[in-house]
Amino acid sequence: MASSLRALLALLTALLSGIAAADQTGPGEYDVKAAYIHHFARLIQWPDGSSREPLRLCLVGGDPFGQALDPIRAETVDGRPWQILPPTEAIAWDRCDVAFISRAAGADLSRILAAIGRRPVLTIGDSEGYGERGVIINFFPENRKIHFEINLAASRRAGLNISSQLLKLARRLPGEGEAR
Amino acid sequence: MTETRSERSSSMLRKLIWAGLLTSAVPLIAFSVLLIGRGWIDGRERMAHELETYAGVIGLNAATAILFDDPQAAAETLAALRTIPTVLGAAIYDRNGKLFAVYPDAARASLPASPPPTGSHRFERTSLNLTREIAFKGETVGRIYLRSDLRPFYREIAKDSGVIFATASITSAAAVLLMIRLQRRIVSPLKDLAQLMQTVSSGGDYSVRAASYGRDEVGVLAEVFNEMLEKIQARDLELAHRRSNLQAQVTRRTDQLRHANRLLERELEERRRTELALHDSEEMFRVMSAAALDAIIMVDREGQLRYWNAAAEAIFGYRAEEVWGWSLREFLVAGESHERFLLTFRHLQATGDQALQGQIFELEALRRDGSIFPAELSLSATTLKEQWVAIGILRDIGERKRAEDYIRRLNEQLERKVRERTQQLLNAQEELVRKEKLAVLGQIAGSVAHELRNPLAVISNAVYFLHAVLPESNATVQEYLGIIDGEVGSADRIVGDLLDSVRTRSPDRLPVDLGQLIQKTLETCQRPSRVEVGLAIPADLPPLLADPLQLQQVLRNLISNAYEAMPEGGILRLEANQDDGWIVVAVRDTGVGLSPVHRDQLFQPLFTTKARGIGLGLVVVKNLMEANGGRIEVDSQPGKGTTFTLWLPQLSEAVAEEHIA
Repeated sequence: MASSLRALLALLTALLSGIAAADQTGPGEYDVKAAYIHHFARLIQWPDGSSREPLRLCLVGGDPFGQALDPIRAETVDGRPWQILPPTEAIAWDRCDVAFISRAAGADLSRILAAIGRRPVLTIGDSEGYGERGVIINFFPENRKIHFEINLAASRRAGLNISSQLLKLARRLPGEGEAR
Repeated sequence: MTETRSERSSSMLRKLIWAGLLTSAVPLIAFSVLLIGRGWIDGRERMAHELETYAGVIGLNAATAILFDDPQAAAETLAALRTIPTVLGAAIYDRNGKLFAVYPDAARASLPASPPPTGSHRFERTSLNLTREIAFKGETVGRIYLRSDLRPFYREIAKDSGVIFATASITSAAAVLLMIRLQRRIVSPLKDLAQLMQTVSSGGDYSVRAASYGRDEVGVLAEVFNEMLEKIQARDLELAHRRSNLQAQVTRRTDQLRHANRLLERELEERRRTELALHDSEEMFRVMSAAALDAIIMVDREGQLRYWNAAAEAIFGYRAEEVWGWSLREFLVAGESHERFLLTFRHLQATGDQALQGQIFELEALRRDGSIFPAELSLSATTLKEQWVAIGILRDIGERKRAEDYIRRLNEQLERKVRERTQQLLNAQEELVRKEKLAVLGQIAGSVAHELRNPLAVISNAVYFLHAVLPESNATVQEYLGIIDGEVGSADRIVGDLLDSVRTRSPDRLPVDLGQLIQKTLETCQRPSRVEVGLAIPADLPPLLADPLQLQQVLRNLISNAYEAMPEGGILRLEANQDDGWIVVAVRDTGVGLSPVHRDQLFQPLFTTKARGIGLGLVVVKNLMEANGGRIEVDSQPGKGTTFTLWLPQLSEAVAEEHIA
């Protein structure tokens, strides 16, 4: 009940922010998030040996981006071009460098994270509470802006090295206590 | 004087001090300026470099804040500038140039709302400004702007400058003091020496000597000065000695010179006078020569021209400088007179014969334009600058010749006219006399003829009667009757002539065939047996216009005169010719002829050469000829014969036609 209420709230928030974004006639919520995902990739170091070409972004449980990912398709991260794997494709976690877990996959989150295990996959979510539940970077809205939280324990588990600059910008660091 | 010199030496001291001061102060000042300038430039460079570094560091730290749109994080990064007090303000702009974060918050209003153009730093009056790009992994994500305060830097520079200039001033002052002390030592001996020199020059006392100052430059100077004084003293003595000698010499020489001068002056005066005279005579010669109307020419021994005056130029048309050195013969026309002149000239050249001097030649001379003119040339020889020369005076006598010719012609004309007039007057006089004679004669003749005609008629009738009554009388009677009849006839003719001579009938002019008329006339005149008659009448002679009876009378008179003029026999020739509208008839005899005196009186009334005759025949002839529009002339030579020539008008065609019609 509580979780469904929370989901509803999140939905409302998303809608509101979507409306706000639409009002601003600037980039939409998922345009910003797509750009942030690209910047994250630039500020995070994958463990040696995992730097294969290209840099694969796996969309898990749905594609809320639509056209919003198009700009980053042309970008590269340290010389690696992006490759977007749509949610319809069967997910082989070894092939993913970044995994965006949509809200729709919320029910399966624990199973998904368990499946990823300690693989060097940057998990990104945009739902309230994902950070505490083990997603490494989770978007959340605040003051009509998009912020993110970083679960350092989860990142350590995945063997990812997150730039201090990025950490400095993260508003919340859930699971820090758990890690300690 | 004294003050001036000592002033000069003190001014020398001043100059030395100035020199020292300047030599030490100029590098000091230059060095100070260099130090301050260097500090200024270095300080600015340092500040700019520092600001660049801050901008780099802050930019690096703020890059991700811009990437993730986190102004708060950016502001915190900027806040690190707190530790640098000279930074007055800073701003970060995002990718789109929008103000993203500022430091400090209080300075927000004073910071630019959009980023100034990036590039190197800009110094303003009290601040240094810098804008830099913020890059993240090679990508420009925004800009950072820093403003730094320059005033502390200025204060520092001012302080440093103060210290540097104070040090320099103190150093300079110390140097001046030191120099004054040192230079006094150099200047004071010089001053003493100057004082001494002054004494010598103003007092003329060459016996004083300078004190010794050791072996430095001033000491050497004093020594040299002393030597100089000694030499001057010696020379003065010698000079005084020589001067006294010289005085005497000068006096002597002056006297000599004065004397020479006087002589020279006299000579000069003489020469000036001579020159003046020479100049005058030269001037006179030049004026005379230029003004002369005759060409004055001078020729040297070789016959070459050496002088040629203005008149010569005008006459010949050559300028003097053109003909210089030409031979005189170039201007003379070859001919007999020319040859004669040349011979004379050579003779004059060779002998200088005085007899030839002044002889005048008439020559033909040649002008430049080729025209020839008569000239008169007189020559004389003389010596000029010990050279033989001939002076020629040549005169163009063309004008004179022409005038002479003209006068001669005039005279001739006049004489001819006088002769003509005289002749005319004589003729008129004769005519008058003749007319007068005729008038008198007319009256006498009229009455005489009238009175004689009647008795003659009676005698004629009586002879006729006697012929009739004595048809068979003896020969003697017959002869005498014949004589009476003949004489009466001649008397009647004489009376008729007489009447004709005073009363010429006006002619009845008709076309006349001259040949026939002459034949007829000859028949009526009894030809003496010893006279032969020759006729030369052209057959085609045109008719003439005259009164036939009067013309017959004229011819008859002339023919009988001719017969009478040839008592010893002879030839009578009658000739006729045409001459320009006239028929000319000549009656020629080979008789006794007439003397010129008689010939002139021939046509005078009552003149006759005949034993018988009253001298009216030719008067009548002349009158008749004139009445018929003709004239008569006579030509005679005593013993040869006489020719009377008649001019009668030819019948013009118009008149002829009129008469034929």
